[in-house]
Amino acid sequence: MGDQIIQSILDGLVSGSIYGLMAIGFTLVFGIMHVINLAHGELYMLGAFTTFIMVGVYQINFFVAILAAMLIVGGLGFLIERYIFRPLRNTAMLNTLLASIGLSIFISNLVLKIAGTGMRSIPTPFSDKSFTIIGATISTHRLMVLLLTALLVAVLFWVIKFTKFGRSLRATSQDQDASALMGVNINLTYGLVFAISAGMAAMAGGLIGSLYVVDPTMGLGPGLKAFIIVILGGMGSVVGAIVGAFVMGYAETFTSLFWAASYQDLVGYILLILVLLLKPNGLFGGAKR
Amino acid sequence: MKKVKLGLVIFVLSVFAALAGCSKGSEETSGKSGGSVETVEIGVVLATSGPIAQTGTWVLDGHKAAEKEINDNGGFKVGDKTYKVKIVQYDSEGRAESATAATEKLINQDKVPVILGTSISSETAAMIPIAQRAKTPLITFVAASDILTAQGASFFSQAAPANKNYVEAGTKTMKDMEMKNIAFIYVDDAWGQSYGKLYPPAMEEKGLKIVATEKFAPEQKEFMTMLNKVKAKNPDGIVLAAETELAVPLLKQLHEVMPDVKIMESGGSIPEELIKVAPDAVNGLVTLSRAGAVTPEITKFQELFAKSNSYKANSFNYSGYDGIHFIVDAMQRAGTVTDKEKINKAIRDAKYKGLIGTYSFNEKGENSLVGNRAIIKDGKVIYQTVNEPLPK
Repeated sequence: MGDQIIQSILDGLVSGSIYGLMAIGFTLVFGIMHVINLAHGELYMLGAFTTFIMVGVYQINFFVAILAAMLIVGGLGFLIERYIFRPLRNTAMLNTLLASIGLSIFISNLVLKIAGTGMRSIPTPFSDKSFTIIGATISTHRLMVLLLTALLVAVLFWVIKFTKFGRSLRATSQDQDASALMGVNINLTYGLVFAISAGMAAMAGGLIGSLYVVDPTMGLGPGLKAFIIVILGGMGSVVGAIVGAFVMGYAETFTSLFWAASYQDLVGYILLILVLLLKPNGLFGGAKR
Repeated sequence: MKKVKLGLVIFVLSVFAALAGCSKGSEETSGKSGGSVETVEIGVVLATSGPIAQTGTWVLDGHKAAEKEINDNGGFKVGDKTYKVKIVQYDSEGRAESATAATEKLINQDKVPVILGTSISSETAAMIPIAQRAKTPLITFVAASDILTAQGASFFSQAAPANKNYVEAGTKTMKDMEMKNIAFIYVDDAWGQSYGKLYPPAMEEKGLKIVATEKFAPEQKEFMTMLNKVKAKNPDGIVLAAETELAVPLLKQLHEVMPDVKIMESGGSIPEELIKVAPDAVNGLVTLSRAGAVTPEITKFQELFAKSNSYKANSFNYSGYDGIHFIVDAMQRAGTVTDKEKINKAIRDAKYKGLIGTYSFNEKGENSLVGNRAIIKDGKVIYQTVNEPLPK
């Protein structure tokens, strides 16, 4: 049993990383733009499809393809902010929420129409080799997901904490009008935030889609899971999203270990209800006046 | 503020639930006559969106191939009249609620004389009481759980090879694969649960030991903890019950955790699709199959199917094709395209030879189709009956 617990700790770490990749982009958009983007899962799906087309069809290097998917879907995110969310800025949150629902339905149905329901698999350059760490094994592919997520989170924190753009992000999230008066280009900041969020979803799609399968409906589950994690961690908090992702990852992993895999989603919802009852602003969400 | 936030969260979760159910709109057709040739509408309910959308889409493509073939040949005759076929299909989205709503619509609004559906046992189970009340024949060519015929509905017939027929083929195959200590993993839906109930006593009777039993949710994509838990029990064989959409990520992860273990899947997966999507993970896999050896009729259908589709026909396409031809045959024998009781009787009295075998039913609506098997070897699929020796 001891070996299984060590293995589950490692499995939970990988699951948490996968969830974290999705949740950080989701919470960034909410924290800075106050938009609940329910099309986040569809951007993840687009990232997976873009990676699949480049690697599976055009035989482009896997890592180059993921980078390109981030740029393409990130660019699309920039345009989405410009033409869908910017006109709705400073209106009720419900408007942007409904717009994101429409966007979600549009994207998934468009891809369904073009690509059909068939499943696809992204070829990866990773070997079948596994590594053993204190008795627990991890495949090269999963280890890469773990390392790339850690790298991305580190870069994101560095950008937010130590760069001029990061300062403008933090300032805009606190007070949009005051930031504009101080010379922050709000339109550009919002556009870039959405692009970063979309790019992160695309990276998740490429990395995780290659672990599972790629299909037009693949974004729905991760989109919902990202939303739950962001609520758990506290909406708008990047640290909260990361902590929430690992709480969810470990809750599911240990449910699978000690109970049954089929109940792991149930535990996620129970966690959400408990957090909403005990700490309505989430684990790291500050009280709003 | 807290109430507003809680309300917002509930609203957003509801939206996700709604999104899950409307990712693809229903396809509706209408019209019942045109010139001297009349049109018969056949109701079809299949999940063409949701977690098990691929299977439903395959069956629908098979239905459409039959529809096109019949209409291109000028229709079919009942008495003096010639009829063309028109499929009226609704997407059940993998949800019993959508399947029942579609059934009500087909019966009350479209007034179809017969309904085919679905590919998911839990959906079909919910449709049966509605069809029974309306005395409308309902027949499934894919849903295989034994809970369906257990309802005892006289207007429901199960034309899919039933799980209990497959269990015999499954235990024989486990023996042929020389499995002794077996881990049994199944999807936690009506179809998988049926195997969860049927396999253990049958395996015990054959002297096969189950060392681990695990079940997973249909929406699940991550299985590492479950598989590592299974690995700790040192099984020499794994028996899966998983539809193609669910089997692919599961088999990919199984290959990561236990690359050398023998695997048998219980008839939910299409081997050609597994090779296409996860070629490295499926070599040596044996899956039970509704289709046996390739016959001249199957070859002919594959050629017909290739004319309108961009992929090679598989056994779920065969079932879809059989479904429409079976109904046409029943209407011809009943001598009517509208009298639902006569059509139902013709269905139950059938001895129709289709692509996957001869369809006939007992008084409970159970069929006598047996399970065959398909072996994936070096990127190729070998179909055979379970009485033939496994290829070396």
